[in-house]
Amino acid sequence: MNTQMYLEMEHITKRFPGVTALSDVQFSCRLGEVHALVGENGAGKSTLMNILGGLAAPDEGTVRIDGHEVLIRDPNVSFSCGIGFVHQESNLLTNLTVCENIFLAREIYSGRRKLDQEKMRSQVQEMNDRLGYHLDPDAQVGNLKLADRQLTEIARAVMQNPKILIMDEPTAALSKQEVKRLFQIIETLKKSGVGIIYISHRLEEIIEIADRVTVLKDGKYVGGIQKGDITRDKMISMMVGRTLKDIYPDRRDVVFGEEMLKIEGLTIPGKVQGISFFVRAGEIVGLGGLEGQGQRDVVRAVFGVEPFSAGTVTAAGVQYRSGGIAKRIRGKLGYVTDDRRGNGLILGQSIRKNASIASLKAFSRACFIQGKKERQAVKEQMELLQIKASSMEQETATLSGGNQQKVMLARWLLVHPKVLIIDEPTKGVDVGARVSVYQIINDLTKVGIAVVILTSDMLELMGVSDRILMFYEGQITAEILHDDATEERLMQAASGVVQEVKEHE
Amino acid sequence: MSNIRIKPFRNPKVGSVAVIYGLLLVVFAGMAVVSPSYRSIENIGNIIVQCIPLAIVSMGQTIVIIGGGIDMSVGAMISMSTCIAAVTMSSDSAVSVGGGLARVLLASSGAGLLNGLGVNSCKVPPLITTLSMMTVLSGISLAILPQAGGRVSKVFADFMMLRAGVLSVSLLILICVYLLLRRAMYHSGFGNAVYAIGNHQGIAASMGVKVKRISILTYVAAGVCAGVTGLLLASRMRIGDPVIGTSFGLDSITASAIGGTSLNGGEGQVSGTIAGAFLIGMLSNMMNILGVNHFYQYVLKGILLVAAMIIYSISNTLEVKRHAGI
Repeated sequence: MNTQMYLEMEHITKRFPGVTALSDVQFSCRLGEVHALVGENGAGKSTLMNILGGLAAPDEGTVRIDGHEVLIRDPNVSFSCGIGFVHQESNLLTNLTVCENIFLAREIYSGRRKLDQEKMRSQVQEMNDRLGYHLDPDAQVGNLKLADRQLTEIARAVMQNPKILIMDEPTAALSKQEVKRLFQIIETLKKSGVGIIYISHRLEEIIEIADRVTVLKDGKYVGGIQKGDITRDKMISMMVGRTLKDIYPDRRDVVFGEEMLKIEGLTIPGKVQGISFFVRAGEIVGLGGLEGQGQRDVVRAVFGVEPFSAGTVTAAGVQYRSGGIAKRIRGKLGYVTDDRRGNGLILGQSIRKNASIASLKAFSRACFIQGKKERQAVKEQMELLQIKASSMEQETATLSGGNQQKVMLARWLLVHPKVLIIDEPTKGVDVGARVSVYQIINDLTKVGIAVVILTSDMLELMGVSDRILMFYEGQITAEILHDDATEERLMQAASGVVQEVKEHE
Repeated sequence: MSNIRIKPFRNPKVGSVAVIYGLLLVVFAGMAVVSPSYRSIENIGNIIVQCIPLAIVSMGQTIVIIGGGIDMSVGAMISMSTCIAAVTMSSDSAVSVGGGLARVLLASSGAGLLNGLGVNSCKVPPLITTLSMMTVLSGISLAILPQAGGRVSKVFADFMMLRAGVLSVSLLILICVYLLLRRAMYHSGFGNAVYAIGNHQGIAASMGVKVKRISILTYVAAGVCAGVTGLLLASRMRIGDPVIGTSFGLDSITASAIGGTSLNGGEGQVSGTIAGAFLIGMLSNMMNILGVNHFYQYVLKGILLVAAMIIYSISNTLEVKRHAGI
């Protein structure tokens, strides 16, 4: 193996308004090695890689490629430095075809400055053969499954013959077999001298393929682990800085009440088919699976955001039809979205307005808001949830991720929910705030609220849920109790291996 | 359940162009049956010549819309172009005609460039940028020619209006502009980039598309198309008119939409727009023949637009269902 570092990053610091995403971080990569980058959500992995990809500029620090200091101003500079990037979220244009996406901004021309469609198509076919894919070059990306979109992204990155290939959660939407094939590809690339930076939440994957691991926590460099020393426990303790027991509340003594949420035969055409499950008062049910297997569609349909064609949704004794969000809120159903900045918070407005917006009726008399009552209620929630802000009039845009999430929780707590759905409870939330979010959720169940959690973080799924339902291609493949949950079992279920679903009386 | 999580989409390259050309044919056939004079070579040639100005300016508009923008100022650009032509091309000398041509095209592409810079460098929303440009250009047109007047070289105008049956110089210009744009949109990286930025600017940028440059170029293309349209109108009238282009701003958007271009960007085709423009032109021609009051033509244009949108929306829903396997 080449011992010379091809890529070196030193003293990297990146600040965003309100947060320091990275502070004095170092990272490096040799040609022909797989260097894994691990850390919890919000540890700064993606920011660090975005700097390499030319999507973010560091405030301090240097990046050296092959010994030369470079300033990666935009994605094209990154490209010419030999860096390929497979993004975490599908980073493709849905209106273009597979072929057009793969060659966008890198088109091949024939002699007369005319696009050489045939050559590009045949190169996609060659890539198919090389990687063992079955991508149709003329298929429109918007019509592809998530897994195929992921493969398209990988094909695009590999097509550029990069020296360094960044893979940010490449397996989030892939099944077990597809992951296996990806690892073979990584192995081949490695042999041909490509350095691979591999980011994943799935620690077993890292143990399997990484030559070296760098751990980030809260935007800081924690340390590195060399091959041979890479173990699950070591990575977790470095990532988290404490043992898992301290993070997830102990829920052995909780008692469940009657069924608060009951879903029967829920069908959303083209997405999920005949889903049935229930959640009892005081229970936390976690929905897991690869991305886009229908779990998010189910909760969105339950809350009335997405229409469903068949089945029943019963929450707190009331049966709901497709659609009708306002009705559900009146019926004490709450939904904390995963896209907090997009369709959760009204970023330009204050904590007070954001928190009270779903329950204004309670503070109103004859359609006028009684300010005193509203402020009192918001103040109580801020104290209860320990929201750190200068005042309740502070704009939510200026809050940290953790405090923003708490404002979202405050909004739904003011509704006095009986059923609360929380989609990605700790996305973009730092570790300290995570612990308190878990604690808040734990406290909610103690007063008899039924909680549904959706998360892509497997550790979190196993840590907080009393019961886990795994989704695969629009169906539930397994129901696993907290004590029986292992990563192996979850991964099998996520790859479509149907497990015996436990019968409840 | 193999097709999980399908996003609704029509392929922008195949699109619904066939639908709109079919509609065009049906309208023509209907009229040809009702009125024998309608199907005369003379009238067909007339219709074509009448529709061409709108078709050319709408093609430019379509490119801007596909790229995720909109250009409200093309109408004013047309007016300005006729005015510039009328004051600079009054003599038949080659110098005068050539100089005038250059000035018209420079002014209109310059206005397009300013639009593009305003949208991309100053980050002013396209609607506001181009509305401001429209106002400014209207003022300039009136400053050049307070009322319709001036003179356009007879030799030049006669050449531009040359006709033989259904063939004409203006048709030739339309075809040339179309071939040029088709080449740019479907046989060069530029076209892919325009569709890309219309779909999602951020993702396109992260894939290495030079978003600013591409977007500015779309506005310049719209400007040039408007300039060419202005020259055609000036040749037809042989004078300049500071308000002649007013209706073209909205009509070009209508023609694009009828032709299958999504106002959300990232979807649509130049060839569909030509059919859209011809449909609008043919219907007004038809109503002129039938002696329908001018005012009702506006009503019909509005209904046509809504009807086209309904057809597209239905076909889109069907497409989604087909992909979802229902």
